[in-house]
Amino acid sequence: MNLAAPHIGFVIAAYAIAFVVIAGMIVVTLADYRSLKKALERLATRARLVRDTES
Amino acid sequence: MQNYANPTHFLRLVRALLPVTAALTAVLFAVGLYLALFVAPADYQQGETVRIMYLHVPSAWMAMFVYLVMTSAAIGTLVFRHPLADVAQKAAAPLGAGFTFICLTTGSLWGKPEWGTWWVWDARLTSVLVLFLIYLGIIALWQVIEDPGKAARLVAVFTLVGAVNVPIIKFSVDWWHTLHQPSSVFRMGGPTIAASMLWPLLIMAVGFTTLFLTLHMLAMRNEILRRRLRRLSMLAADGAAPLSIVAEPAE
Repeated sequence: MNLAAPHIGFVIAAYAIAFVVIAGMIVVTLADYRSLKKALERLATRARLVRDTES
Repeated sequence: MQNYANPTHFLRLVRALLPVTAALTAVLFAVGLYLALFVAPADYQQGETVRIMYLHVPSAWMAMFVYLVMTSAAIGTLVFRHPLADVAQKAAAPLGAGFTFICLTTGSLWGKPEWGTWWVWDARLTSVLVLFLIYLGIIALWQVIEDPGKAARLVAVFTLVGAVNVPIIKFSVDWWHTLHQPSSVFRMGGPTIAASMLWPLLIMAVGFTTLFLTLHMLAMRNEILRRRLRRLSMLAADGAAPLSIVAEPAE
């Protein structure tokens, strides 16, 4: 790729936007998984506490 | 197939497949980007701007492919009442919107140096913009209806109506005179692109497809966990959450 070619800025911008969008989709999906797992773990801990208190 | 209607079985399948699809995506992107940026020649007319094609075309294919996946899932929801169909629908919509956004923005960035304009209201560009708005509408519908079952049925109907737009996108360049060029890969008589450009394009297209499969499986796993969390939170609020269910492993 010739970085001195005319209109090269459009090519770089296109790849930068695609990178940001794809990285964003990956990060959001993984962050969502982490928060859901944490919420489920919190619920399980609470349920265990309730069980221990009752028994 | 029916076996994987059980979310727990499906999560087990996801756990086995994810490393394979993720690794395949990384390899395909590495090879595809290397070929697209450093091996494929510049176009004799467009020069280096032709390299936008290696993002624009695969993302355009994915924009339509994801919608076809959602349409199949919508049929699964309405006809077969498959428990994972509405999960698949919901998980695919943001990904489809993402690919369509990449298609629109890279197309605009390609159009400016080649056509002299960022945007024209021609049939191809407008129908892809409509697809993007349909994706946003579907995401909004999922957000505003609280009951996932009701939302799934409504979204399924909306998705099936919106499917009319997919053949319009595909054939818009044949049915109307547009500024956008006609198909040059999937056409009667074979591709019109030189092999040195076609191979990087196809590798990038397969890479985008495996990327979607990976993200779709991850997003479906998230949606299954979200529904489990919702169900358990409601049970816990009623003071009836059985520990065996709450303590069920997350994946």
